[in-house]
Amino acid sequence: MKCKNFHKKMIFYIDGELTAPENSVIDQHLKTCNDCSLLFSELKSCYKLIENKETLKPNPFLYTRIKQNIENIEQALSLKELKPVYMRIIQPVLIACLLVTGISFGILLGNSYDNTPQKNKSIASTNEFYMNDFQSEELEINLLNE
Amino acid sequence: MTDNELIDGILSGNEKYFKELVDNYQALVLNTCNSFLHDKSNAEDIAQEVFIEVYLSLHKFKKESKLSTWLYRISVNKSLNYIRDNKKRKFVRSIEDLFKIENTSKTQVVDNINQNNNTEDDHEEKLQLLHQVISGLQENQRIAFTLSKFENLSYKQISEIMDLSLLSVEGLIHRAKMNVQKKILSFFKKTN
Ligand SMILES: [Zn+2]
Repeated sequence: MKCKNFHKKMIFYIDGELTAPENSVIDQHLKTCNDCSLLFSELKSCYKLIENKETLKPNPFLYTRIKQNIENIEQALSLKELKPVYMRIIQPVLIACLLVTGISFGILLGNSYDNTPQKNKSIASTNEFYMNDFQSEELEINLLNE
Repeated sequence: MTDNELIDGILSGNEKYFKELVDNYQALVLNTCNSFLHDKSNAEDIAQEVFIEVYLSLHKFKKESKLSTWLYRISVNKSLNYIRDNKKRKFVRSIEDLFKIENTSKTQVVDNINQNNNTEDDHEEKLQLLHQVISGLQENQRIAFTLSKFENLSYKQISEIMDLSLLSVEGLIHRAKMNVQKKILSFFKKTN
């Protein structure tokens, strides 16, 4: 057997994949060729380490961790699903409510303004100013979010 | 309880069936991930991700194939994805390290050389070489070889996991072995 042929078959020899006649030819070559025998033992010492692979035992907390992660993901997903509903239904309803209360507030304040005695007029008008300001700000935020 | 009963149980919303699935398959998933990652804590992290994916996409699983085949496939994909992402991170880090070279002390280098003299480190070095050689294989060769040699799966099982013909798997493993041999020997030739 030529050394070159031997080199081609070494790893399959280690894995026991050769036929009986092939094996005996290799055995013979190993006994007679020093270089190949050295090369072979180097290859084998490294390649055989695959068989030393340790089998890991699962972490006892694995399931708890998986469950925790899934809960977090599901929570994030349900929030995402809620968002479009909020945008499409809740937000317009909220704006409408604010508009209605704003208008009725305005009417109410307008009526009370008429009925307010002269000396309280300035206080009433500052109140009115703050309240209207607050409402328009809320509306702006809602419109921005849309 | 059969796998199909477990799957039906999980899909009907019963949590205890999912726990049973994890119990049944956690060793398979963990060790498959470890065969690619060679690192226990990374393998645990990826095994976790595998089961999360299983839970979230179980409704898409076709029952005509085996559950274990599907689990192997997700484990392989997730592990290789992790390695790919990690390579990118390492590349960035190695650039950062270029600017820190002067911080490595000379004594550390001498220590490393001295350590290489004992057999335990020789063993460790060879193991590193082996892992490096396998990770340098073309991806399909790497998957087929790893499942065959580390997980001891049959060519038929591997062909199902990789969705390839038996003949292709045989070819991949044959070429993988030739390459592994070539790379190991070229390393020894260089060092001697
Ligand atoms: Zn020879």
